[in-house]
Amino acid sequence: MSNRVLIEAKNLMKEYIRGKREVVMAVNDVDIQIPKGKMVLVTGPSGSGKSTLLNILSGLDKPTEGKVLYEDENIAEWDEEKLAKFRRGNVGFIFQNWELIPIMTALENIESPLYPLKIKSKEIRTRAISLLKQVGLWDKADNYPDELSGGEQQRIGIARALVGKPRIIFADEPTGNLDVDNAASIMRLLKSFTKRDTSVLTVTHNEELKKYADLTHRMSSGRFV
Amino acid sequence: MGLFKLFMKSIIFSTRSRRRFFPFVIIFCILSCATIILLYNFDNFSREGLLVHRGVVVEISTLGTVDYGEAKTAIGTNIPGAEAVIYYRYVDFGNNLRICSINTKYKWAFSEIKPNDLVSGSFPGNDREALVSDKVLLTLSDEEGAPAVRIFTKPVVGAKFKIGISNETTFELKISGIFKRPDPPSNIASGREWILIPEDSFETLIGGQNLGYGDTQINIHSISIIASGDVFSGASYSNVDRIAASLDDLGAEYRSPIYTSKTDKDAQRNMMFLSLLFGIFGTFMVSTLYSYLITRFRRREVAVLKAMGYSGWDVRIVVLCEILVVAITGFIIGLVTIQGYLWLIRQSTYFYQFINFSYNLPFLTPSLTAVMSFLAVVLSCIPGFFLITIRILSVRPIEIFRQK
Ligand SMILES: Nc1ncnc2c1ncn2[C@@H]1O[C@H](COP(=O)(O)OP(=O)(O)OP(=O)(O)O)[C@@H](O)[C@H]1O
Ligand SMILES: [Mg+2]
Repeated sequence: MSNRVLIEAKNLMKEYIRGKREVVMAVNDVDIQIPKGKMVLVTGPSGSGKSTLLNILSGLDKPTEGKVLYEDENIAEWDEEKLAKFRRGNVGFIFQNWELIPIMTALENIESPLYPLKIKSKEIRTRAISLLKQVGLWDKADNYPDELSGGEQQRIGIARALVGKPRIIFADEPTGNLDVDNAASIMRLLKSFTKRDTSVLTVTHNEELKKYADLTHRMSSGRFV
Repeated sequence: MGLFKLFMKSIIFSTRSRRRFFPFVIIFCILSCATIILLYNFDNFSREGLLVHRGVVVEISTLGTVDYGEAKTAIGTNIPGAEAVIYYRYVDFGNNLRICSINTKYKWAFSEIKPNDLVSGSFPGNDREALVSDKVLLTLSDEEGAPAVRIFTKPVVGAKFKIGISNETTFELKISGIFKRPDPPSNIASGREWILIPEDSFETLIGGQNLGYGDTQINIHSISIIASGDVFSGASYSNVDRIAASLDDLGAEYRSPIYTSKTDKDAQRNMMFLSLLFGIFGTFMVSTLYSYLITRFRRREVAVLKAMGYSGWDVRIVVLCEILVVAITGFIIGLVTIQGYLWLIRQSTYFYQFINFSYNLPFLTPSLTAVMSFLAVVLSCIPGFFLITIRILSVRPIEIFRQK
């Protein structure tokens, strides 16, 4: 494996049993490489298996078959606790519905991934404030999520994904609930972080986003096409 | 350090889910009040009410006095169904003092002074300790060498004092507790101040070496006969009835035995059981319901935290903090409310006139009851904790990707 590659997956398969008999191949024989510091985009229609692929690559779900190599370690074999630890230091998530925690302020939401870690509160605060400035929401630090617009919430979501200094960010439909202008600025923001060697895997049904990607795959019925 | 930080943060965040927080704090507050009062009653029962449930009291009538020897012959040594016979003996010393023996094992068995009448300290635990009434005036013994100087002072727990008829034969006692003398004073106490000492010390003090009272000078205040068998199964009840029947005909010097009949006690006991069950079951139900609600409302949040790399223990802390904070806040408000209410009642002369038992109302400040109720509230949350743990662990982070 070249040392520019962060994640490499081979022959990924994910089967779901739906109803009594019907087997759904949500991911069917997919090979993918995610290089360091690049934005990889997976597009495809609804139900094509994008989210399933993202879950497997990020260690949230296990493939039925195949390997997910993270610098030569197959994370598909790890148990929940080991995966949780792995995600802490290596992985950030951005979600379609932002999923900010409603009882935390914007600043606290950004800090939240670090609370269980052995990092001093002061250091956590410094990191969160610096990210809050980078996403341009310094004046909204003490607002609760329901006081922020969708675009603003997604910026906080990005800051939260980055606060643990991850090596890769997984984004599932990050612009799905945003208008065109907000979507563009979110994508530019994400792209700007790849310049610092953070990889990004974005899955979306929106073909428009291809222009921000370094690498693009199209998915249909569980396969790359 | 990480877990502590998470714990502190979780406590702060718990108070922010207003729509859950305030209603449940109020519910927990009401339940805490109920638990405090119920436990107070329960405690009171075991300190005050136990004599009613386990004993028969024979008092001496005002017609004359009965000495120790006479009483022993009248009562007899072998009473069927009795576990212990306690004679409360006394001698009158000087013009104001009455020295009385008490039994250290059955502290609640004296019909006139109960553990709840304690103002401070405790009942005598061993020899050479004494329980004194709050208005007793004592000459303290630390002015050794200057017996002419007599300092009259109010009693203090831990202070030592001497009783004797001459300087050579003094008997030193330490104050273990101070009680509030029944007000108005009972007819038997006849206005004297009391010193109560354990039976063994009483015998030594009164005997020839010290004060030198003869057997016929030792009078009986009352006799408590304790029935065998336990209260909760009701086994002691029939024994109480048996004992009372056997003591029916003691003579004119004795009053007729004081006891409550089995049927009345059964009703009392059942009420107490029911209310205790209600209180504990209520708190248990609410805390479990609350735990269930938290795991429902915070399920998505838990999924997000898990995706961010929180371990099973991390999310457990986050969620358990909420129920702990709510239960404890509710408890504290409940405790303060009860205290405030009691304080108001005591302050109000209007109430005071009508509720003349008001000085007997529970004033719980640092009491064991408060501690016990606190434990009851926290313990009743434990099933909720397990529910939370099971439901939280079953949350899988991929749930976030299924749209709402
Ligand atoms: N838990 C599951 N049980 C059964 N089938 C599932 C499950 N999760 C996903 N599927 C099926 O797997 C296929 C791929 O689903 P997936 O969520 O990955 O699609 P997607 O490309 O993300 O779609 P969308 O754009 O709508 O989010 C779908 O046919 C879906 O019905
Ligand atoms: Mg999807």
